[in-house]
Amino acid sequence: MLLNRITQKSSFNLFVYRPTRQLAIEVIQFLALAVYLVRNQINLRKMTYTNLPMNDKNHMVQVKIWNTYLTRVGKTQDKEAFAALFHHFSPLLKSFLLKTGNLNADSAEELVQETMIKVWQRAPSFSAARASASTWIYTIARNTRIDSFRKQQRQDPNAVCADDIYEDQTKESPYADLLQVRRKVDVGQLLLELPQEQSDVLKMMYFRGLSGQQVAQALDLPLGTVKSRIRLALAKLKIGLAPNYEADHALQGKYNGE
Amino acid sequence: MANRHPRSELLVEYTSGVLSLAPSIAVTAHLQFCGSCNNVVQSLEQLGGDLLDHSENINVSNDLFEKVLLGIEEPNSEPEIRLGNAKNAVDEIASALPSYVRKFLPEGALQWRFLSPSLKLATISVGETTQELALHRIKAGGKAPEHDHQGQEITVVLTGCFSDEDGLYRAGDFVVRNHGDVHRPIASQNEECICLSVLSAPIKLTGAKRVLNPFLKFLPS
Repeated sequence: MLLNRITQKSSFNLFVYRPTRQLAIEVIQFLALAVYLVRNQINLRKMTYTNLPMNDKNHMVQVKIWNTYLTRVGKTQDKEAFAALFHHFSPLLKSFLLKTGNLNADSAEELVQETMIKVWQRAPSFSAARASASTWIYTIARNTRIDSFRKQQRQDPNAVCADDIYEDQTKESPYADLLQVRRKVDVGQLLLELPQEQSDVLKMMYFRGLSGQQVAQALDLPLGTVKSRIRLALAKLKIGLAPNYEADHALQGKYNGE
Repeated sequence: MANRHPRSELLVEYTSGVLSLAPSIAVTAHLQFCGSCNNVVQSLEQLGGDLLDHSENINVSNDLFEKVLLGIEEPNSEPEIRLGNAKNAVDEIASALPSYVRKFLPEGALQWRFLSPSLKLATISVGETTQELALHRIKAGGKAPEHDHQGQEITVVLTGCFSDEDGLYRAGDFVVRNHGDVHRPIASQNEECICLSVLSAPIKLTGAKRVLNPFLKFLPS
């Protein structure tokens, strides 16, 4: 009863003093982060790196930490922050790249090296409002992998590089502002709940660099089945489609022989 | 705002980096017009980041960090070759195109080939061996010859609009045609229609113009 009255009263007060409420929220967030850091023995100042277990709860906190580090690298060329990023991301990048078809440990490390050098060089263009550090680093690794494959196949050295293709959508696009709207759903959490046959297909594409057709061949499934698994997975991951999107797709399905 | 979009599987292939160059450029062109596909691609990139986060840790060599530090201390050791945006002012059509297409164009004038009095085509070399990237121009009110598709054709409307038996296509629309689709695109009366297209096999003219077929060589560039 008493508690109820207090909350009523305080919520009234907070309603009146909006800035105070904002401040209170920030203080609480800061305290929560501080408690988390202390409990997990992370010393931000000394940048002692602790390998954090990945689970839903601390995922968002981690996202914040890595975003902060990467921003710091971009703004002040902070080498300690970069070292922390390196120690966190390079083992992940290595296993990510190792799953790619014909890469051995040495060439995977070369790509990790190339990716991390680009991370340092391009950090000034990183914006935490637009993408998280891992998403941003993922796109750099992806482009590095694409370009190294093209080099291996000895295609035209003057050929277009992956950055030429992917870079514009955030810079010049009239939808650049729209991109700054952060997604509300944490894909990572939903990813863990995905049926294995669906997550397998996504992993084969993202990790191994296989096309839908190649996945179908590898799993000995009809292409249509692979496509529907992708679509089901995206629906479960709540990867948003515009209201008229599916209708347009149904229309296009006509041309895709479905 | 575009009304026809790439299928979601294609966007997954695009974002995961498995889609080859020419169709990737077509998707990028569509993304310039389409907020909803941009959102999907952004979410799919986030998915990539999450998959990276959930990867297992595999230790890297002890000296890798030192190598990286050496790499960042000499930043200009291997300058990246990137395509410029300012070139290609030679061709009148090319210079009017938006930069995300212009930067893929060759130096100098585009080689326009006449396919019919109202349809011109210029191929663009992007180092792709299996698919052909091309620009199409259909004169205002012009009719492209009726044609059949041997393989998949992706068309993204850049400026103007065209229509065929199935509907009207405006700037940004991403249209996929497959083997066996016969159609006859007609540009709108008021302006020329310029499209970016990706062909995986030669187009075959049907109807009276089929006599021209031997001249429609497929030119993978």
